[in-house]
Amino acid sequence: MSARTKPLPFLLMAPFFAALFVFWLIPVFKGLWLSLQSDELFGDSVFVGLSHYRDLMHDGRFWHALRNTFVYCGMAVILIPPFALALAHLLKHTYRRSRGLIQFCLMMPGLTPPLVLALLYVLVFNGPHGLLNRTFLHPLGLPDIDWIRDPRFIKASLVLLALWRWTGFITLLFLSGLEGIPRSYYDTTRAEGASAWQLFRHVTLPLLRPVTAFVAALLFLDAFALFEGAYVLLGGSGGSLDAGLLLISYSYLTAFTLGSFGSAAAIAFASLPLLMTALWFILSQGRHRKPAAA
Amino acid sequence: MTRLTIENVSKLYPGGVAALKDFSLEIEEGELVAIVGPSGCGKSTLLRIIAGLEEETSGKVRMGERFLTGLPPKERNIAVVFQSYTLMPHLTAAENMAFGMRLRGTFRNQREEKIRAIAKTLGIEGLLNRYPAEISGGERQRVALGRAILREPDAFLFDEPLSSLDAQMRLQLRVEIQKLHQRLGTPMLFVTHDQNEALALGDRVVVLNQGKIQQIAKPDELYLKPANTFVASFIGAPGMNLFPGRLESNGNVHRFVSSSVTFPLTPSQASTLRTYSEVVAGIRPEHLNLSHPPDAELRGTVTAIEKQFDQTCLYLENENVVFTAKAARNISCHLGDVLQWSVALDNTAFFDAITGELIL
Amino acid sequence: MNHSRKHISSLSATAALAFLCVIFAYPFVWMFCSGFKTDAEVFALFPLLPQHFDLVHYRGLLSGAWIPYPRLFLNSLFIASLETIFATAFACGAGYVFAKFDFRFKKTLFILAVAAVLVPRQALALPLFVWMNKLSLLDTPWSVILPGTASGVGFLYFIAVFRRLPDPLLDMARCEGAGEYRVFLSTLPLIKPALIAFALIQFVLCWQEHLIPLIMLSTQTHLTVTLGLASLNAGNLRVPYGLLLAGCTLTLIPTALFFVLAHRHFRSALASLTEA
Repeated sequence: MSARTKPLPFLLMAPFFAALFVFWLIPVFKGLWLSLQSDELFGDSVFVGLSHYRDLMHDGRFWHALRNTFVYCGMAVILIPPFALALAHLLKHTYRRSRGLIQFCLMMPGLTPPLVLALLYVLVFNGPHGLLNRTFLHPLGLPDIDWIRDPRFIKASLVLLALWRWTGFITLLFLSGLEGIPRSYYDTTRAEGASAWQLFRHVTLPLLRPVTAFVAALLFLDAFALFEGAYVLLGGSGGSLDAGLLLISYSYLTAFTLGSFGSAAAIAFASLPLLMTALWFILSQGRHRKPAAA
Repeated sequence: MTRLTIENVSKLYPGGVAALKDFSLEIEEGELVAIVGPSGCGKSTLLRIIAGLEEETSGKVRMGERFLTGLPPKERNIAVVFQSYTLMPHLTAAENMAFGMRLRGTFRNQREEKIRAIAKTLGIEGLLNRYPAEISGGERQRVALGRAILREPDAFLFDEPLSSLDAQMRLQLRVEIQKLHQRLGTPMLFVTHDQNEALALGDRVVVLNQGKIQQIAKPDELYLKPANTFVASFIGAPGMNLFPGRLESNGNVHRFVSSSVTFPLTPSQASTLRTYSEVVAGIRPEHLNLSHPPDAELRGTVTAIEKQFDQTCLYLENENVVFTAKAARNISCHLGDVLQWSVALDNTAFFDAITGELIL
Repeated sequence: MNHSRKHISSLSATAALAFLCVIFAYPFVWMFCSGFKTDAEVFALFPLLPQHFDLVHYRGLLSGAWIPYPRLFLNSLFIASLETIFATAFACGAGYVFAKFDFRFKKTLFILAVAAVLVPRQALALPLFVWMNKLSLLDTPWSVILPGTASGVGFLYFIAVFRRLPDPLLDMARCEGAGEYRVFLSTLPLIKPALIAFALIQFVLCWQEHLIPLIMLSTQTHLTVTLGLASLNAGNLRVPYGLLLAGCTLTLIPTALFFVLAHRHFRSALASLTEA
């Protein structure tokens, strides 16, 4: 706007951008620089160029962690939103008076620190007395599964944990989205003779597109940054056969257990382009054909 | 009391688009000037510049001897009534009216007294404790009007305050603004795209198009002597019929000749028009009279009939020239009928075909 | 006919969700009850309810015999509250400016903020650690609070919130005699639900944060409550499960309380959250 109102915009946005600059941009460059240094932390590290990145290319554990992370992210993104959307539909049909309690129960895990959640998962769901074995395997006469030590099931455990944590929140997001769709869209479409499925397919889904993209990005980001769950479930390691080794934990292990800061920074930064591309792709799916209702 | 002066104000937007070109206007003490023009003509920009919400590229705004240019809105002491959305939804009508006074630190008991008095004159004393969502559009604008009055400003600016109201409310509030105008001696500027509003309210009317003043005149003059072809076709519903043609003289007999209409001119008209090779004749629809073959100067086939309460508006066509005429309410005619018209010469205006300016 | 069909669908939907709720909430009930049990009782299936509400674990927890629990709880509250206040205020101010003003470098700054959304803080944990060390902030609450004050998501959210605020409202305030600063302040009551909702979500996320405090904080009395619980769990302390679970139960109180209190605001603002 005009020149005389200039000081205000500057002052109001200064704190945000100052914080962004000091606690985000500087660390980004610091991290990049770190990843080009040799591994001594506070001592005399020397510039080693891209050698950490070169080493990573031949590091089986890195590729393993990268694959685990993206498989885990992908599973979370593919499984949780449809489940939550179905719940949101159910929630719309429940008795009005029961909704508050249902929402609170579903939200409960989301309000809990993931660390506590992981603890509860270990204590309640896992083990021979665990609910998972007792409700799903025993009735079928199958042998017990150790959900956190058996490498085949570690990732499933992580996904279940994410599902438990996020379902309530995402269901509420979808519910808000559903309630935000104007009735007239349904009325016109129904007037053209659409079935319930067609209504869902041609009205609900397209109009929920921005919500869905947001949810998917949120899950992806959270899954990528996941640390506590793996930390508690697997005691900070990658679990047996590294089946639960994720990038953030690998970076943490490399830095704080092995003391190799340069390599650890390289691990984080080597994976960032992939993360950013994936997120960008997800978010751009939502923008595309943005409905007027939103 | 003082006058509001706008001197050579121009506004250029980045990219070179000119929203206002060299705009000058003086609004006297106690005068209400209406600005009318099609959307995008720059009228709102002008108002925002006067209020200090936007900065002029060049030119000056003065309140009496006090230059307002460069001052922030809060130091200008000018009240603005906007089209809509200007009541704070979380405040009651009374609190909304007190909004400006609270910013200026008026005492609470003084505030309440003033609000009650103003609310009474505006007929909203019963709504003072309601929230904007609970009252009608017209009532909301009354509250906004009350808030503006309570400021005791040096000038009032109205930015299409009636546009989002239904027809009846619009008329009622129009009267309210007129009363206000008579009671307070402050200069007022009223921006609208509705020419009826402009004609009804304005002591003078400014017609604006593409950022340029087309004409500043009293409502009558605007109607009878439009300064150019734009004003001619913009003012009036429907606007003036424009027939491009030329003067033909044969001894002492002078005629205006166009593809569709031909009529005689007086010698004095002819002598003025003689210097122009191409002219445009402008005839108001109500200045075409139904007539019969010997006197008829214009024929037209009826393409549409619009019944109004007090008259009938006819849309006619003659050899691809489209024009309108007004006839009595009870005229009986049908689509496709061919009607004959004569021209009321006294009320015919002539424009230069090249510049579009009024000749006589 | 139609009425009864609707009844059946409501009934079945409620029943299905109730079943799910039991699965989702059972561990929490179990956790709550276990806080009053001995180790032997904790893993017995029945009874779920404790024999008697024995407060021995809570007493042990609050007395600080194992970890200085009350202190850690206050640390967490302090960190999460300050981080929330800063993040909300910063994002709100910047969002307002970006929604209502144009200026040079706006696009560049915007892209920077979006990039901040795409690169999570956790991925920067290491350089943040080195940076905080250089600033001599390690092992202070600030080393955890400060990195969380610039919320890219919050910035985008408040841009969307302020965009929906009609411009004439701001113009009106200006013309009524408000300075630019007052104009901004007068918009805040209008976006109160959005402010509350964002602060709520931000608080929940801060309260849950684990990696950053883990790296930054080392002195036992400086830890956050989740770190304390982790140390109870991981160490070879042979901590009674009842005590651990009592500690877990208490961490739920602030967030659950906020959710219940601000539930309505939360729901109304969720709808607008996704538009960012």
